[in-house]
Amino acid sequence: MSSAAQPDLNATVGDRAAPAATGVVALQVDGLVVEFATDRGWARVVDGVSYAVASGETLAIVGESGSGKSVSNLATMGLLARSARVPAGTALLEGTDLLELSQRQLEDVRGDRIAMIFQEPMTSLNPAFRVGDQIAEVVRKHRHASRRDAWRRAVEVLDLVGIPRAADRARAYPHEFSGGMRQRVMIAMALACEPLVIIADEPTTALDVTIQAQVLDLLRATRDELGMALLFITHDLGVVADVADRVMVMYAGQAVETGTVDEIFFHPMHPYTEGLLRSMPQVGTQGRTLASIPGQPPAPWSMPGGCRFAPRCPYAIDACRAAPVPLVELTPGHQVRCVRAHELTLRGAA
Amino acid sequence: MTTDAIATTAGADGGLVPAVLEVDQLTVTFKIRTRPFRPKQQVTAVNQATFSIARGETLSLVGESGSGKSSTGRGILRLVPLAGGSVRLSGVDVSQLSTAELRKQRRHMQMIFQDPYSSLDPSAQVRDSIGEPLKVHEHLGGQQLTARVAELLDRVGLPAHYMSRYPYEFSGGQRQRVAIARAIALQPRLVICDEAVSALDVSTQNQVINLLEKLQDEEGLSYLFIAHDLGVVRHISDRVAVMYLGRIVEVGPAERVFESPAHPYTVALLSASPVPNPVIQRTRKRIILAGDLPDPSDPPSGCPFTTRCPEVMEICTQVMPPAVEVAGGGHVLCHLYDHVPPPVTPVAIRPTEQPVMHLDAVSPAET
Amino acid sequence: MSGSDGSFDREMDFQDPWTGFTGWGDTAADDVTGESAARRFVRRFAGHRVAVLALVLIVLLILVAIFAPTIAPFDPNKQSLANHLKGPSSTHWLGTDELGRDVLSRIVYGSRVSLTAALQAVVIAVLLGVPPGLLAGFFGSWIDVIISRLTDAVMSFPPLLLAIGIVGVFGAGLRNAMLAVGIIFAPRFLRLTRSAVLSVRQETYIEASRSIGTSTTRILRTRILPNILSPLVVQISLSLGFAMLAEAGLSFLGLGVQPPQASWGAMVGRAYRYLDEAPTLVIFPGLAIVLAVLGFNLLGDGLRDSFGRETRKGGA
Repeated sequence: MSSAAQPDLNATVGDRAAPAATGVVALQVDGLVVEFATDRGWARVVDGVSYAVASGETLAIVGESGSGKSVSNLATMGLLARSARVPAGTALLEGTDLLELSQRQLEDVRGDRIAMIFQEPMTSLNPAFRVGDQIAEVVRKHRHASRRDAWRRAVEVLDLVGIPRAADRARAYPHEFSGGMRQRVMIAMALACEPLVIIADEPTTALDVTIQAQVLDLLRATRDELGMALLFITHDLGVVADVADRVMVMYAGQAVETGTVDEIFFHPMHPYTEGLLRSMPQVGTQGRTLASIPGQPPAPWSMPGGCRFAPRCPYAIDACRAAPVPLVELTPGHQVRCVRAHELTLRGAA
Repeated sequence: MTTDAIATTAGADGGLVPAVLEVDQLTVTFKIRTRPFRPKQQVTAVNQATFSIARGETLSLVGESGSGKSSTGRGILRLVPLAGGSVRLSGVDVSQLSTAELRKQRRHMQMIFQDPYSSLDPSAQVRDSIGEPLKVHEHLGGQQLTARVAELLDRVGLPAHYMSRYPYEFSGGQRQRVAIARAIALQPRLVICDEAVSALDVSTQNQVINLLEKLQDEEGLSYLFIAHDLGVVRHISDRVAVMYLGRIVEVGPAERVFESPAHPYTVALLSASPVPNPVIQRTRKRIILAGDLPDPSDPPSGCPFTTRCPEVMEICTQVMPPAVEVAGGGHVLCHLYDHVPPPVTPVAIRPTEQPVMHLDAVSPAET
Repeated sequence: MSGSDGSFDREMDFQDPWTGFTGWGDTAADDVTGESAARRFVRRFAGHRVAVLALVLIVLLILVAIFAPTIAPFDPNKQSLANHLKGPSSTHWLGTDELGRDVLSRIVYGSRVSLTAALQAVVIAVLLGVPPGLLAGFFGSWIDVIISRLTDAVMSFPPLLLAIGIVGVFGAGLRNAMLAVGIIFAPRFLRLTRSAVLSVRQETYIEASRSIGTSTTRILRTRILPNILSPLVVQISLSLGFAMLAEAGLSFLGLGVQPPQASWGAMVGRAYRYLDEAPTLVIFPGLAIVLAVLGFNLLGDGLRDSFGRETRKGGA
């Protein structure tokens, strides 16, 4: 029960980020640990997470709320709340460990080499300034461009993300845009300095499906055009199937399975992945009981001693509860954290 | 399986089972200030919605934000004032009732809200939240109330001793179970689920859906299921109504609407909704609609979908299309079918996992 | 949630182990502490050392007021002109005043006056402020406009002038003075209540109550009131402090308690004339006022920090 309090050596030592499938590794995170101060002391919400994302590639991080998927990325960007700390881990971007940088140094990197898109664009845009000025500001800060050049760049990226009459619309304020258009403005701002990595944290969750389709298309197109690495955080497996090249599934602060999108969807090796896939309502389930994962994820201060998923896993045996389970690479690039991975035959998407 | 589903819903659709809810020309308007310092403008959130729900049936209302699906639910419960139309619950015209009479009728229609974090009073114990309808309508208290609450908790799969806990001690899924227990406390005829599972995680969402279906079987409840997740809608619905900008543009048996959608908006909506299968997702043809929902305070003339419709014709901007019956059940409001009846497609022979596009020829470029 | 029910058989339902399986138990569901809101409040409040100290101080003050006859060494009104204006001594710990009355005994008895006076004023302020605030916040529209304008009118009056006016009309005396203080404080309660109701009214659980068929008065009583209670309690605590201060001020001016009754403010007011000869006469009752007011204010701050919702989510 107290495993959350101590570093989980067995589980973290062997973990290396799976090599990216294509291109040059843009961002490599290794053994990241994030803890939050709570009434019960430091709660470990991210426990030894490692991943790498290459240029021109999309890595989707999937998990439910509380799985640590967002927190791990806020940590690499230095955007954690004051009540959090990062006791271990590295996040290499172009040979620099982001976790070693001061806030000031990070500010130079953020928006320039690495940019972030959030779920709710209204909270990330300043309502008091024209969107063109806000984008130009980013360009001026990082590129030391002249006012005029920065403005021209702002119009250019607004046009790139499909805002009609970009030159006019650059003079508009955030509230004058619809939700979908605002998310486009956020993407334009993220693209303004042609970053190496874009981290998109549930960028379409607040949008309607027809608008979501537009935004996903846009992200895919700009990634291909500019060759960025895209880190896509979501809970929606439909969106994952749409955008991802590779997928990392997180559960209770740990990666439980990493692989290509086809491996994850068609040959899942971790029962949790299977459970998630089976939980998607599918054609032909009408009138039948839907598959569901029983119970709730564990709280960070009461992690099960062995496999963290064991209490909810229909395949769990005594060995699962005995000791923490390490992440093992079964086939190249396909890692799984399950004692029974080699003996279970799990079903993927239909 | 497919034909079975049609057969059972046809009974509901054909009106063989008495309707629990009959909504006729329901209209809901709001006065809102769209711009500061300008006079308030009238926005028609729901425009002449007409549908009915049979006993034990689930009708889903799908559409995007601003389509008026939530306002329809609130209008039926008269949580918002009605601008026109009528709502009949088991024959009683709810829209004409006085406030006091309405309060009595409310026991027959209940609502489950989207956000389980704000729909329960944070300062009240679960016993008090679930017991509220029992206190108000049956004047229960003390031992009797405790016994009923324990029974309700048991029915939604929570242990009885949870009744002395507070909402903050529960997860989202558990809170939604509490909200469901409150909704079924008085054996209502109709339960309106307003995005009731949208805020939940995948793994808990299905637990709640299974619970809703179990209760429907046990109690013969009718559901008006308001949702935007088409996967969930397909699973739970007998019939589906698609809303766009306050109008119901298509309604029909779930199987028919998903397998052979008639309205161009329904087609686009189905095509935009991602399927959790990377291979299908890579190969299927998608229709990416251009633009956004028009300003509801200044809707386009004629059909509301004209500004984004890939099939738009001249007549569309002038006349609101009438309802046309669709083979396979339901009807559609679209000028495409003014002279040609909507295509009849034998549902059973279509590969089930492939979303079917009748407008495959349309590419986004033409928009 | 309470573990597998035994009927589940993994081997038989291998096709889809995710239906019907209820888990092996031991999930977060059963891990919640089951701590009631009251106990959580106590735990958080106990963490505030200053607030706990303030609470102890106020409890002591209340005990002193209740048991004044046993605690006070002398009759507070018994004069002994031979012993007037004596400094602290072993018989009169805090000395005697200009009429030879024991200062300690007068402070002890004065606590009764100060406390009941403050309580009176705050009760009046709550009664005058909270109900109209509830109505204005909940119903809005013209009710809100009328009530809010009336409040503005009261608040635009200089408080001291208002107090003097009321005392002038109804006559001097502690009760009328406290009525004045209550009227002066009422708008604060009204505004606080109104704004708290405005935010609570937006919550879905109010709409949920309406959809159940709960009457408006019941919603106000069972849903709105409990949820605005915490800011009100904080305001009550702070106001008690301010009311004591106001009582002291009005009694100092001679508008409050009438002689020979002792109140801390009146004591300071009278002793003021003998500041040169016996400074302790001002200092001791003054100190009592400071401690009591400080106590109520610190308690109010502690309450404010201890109410409010705890978020248990680690993030993500």
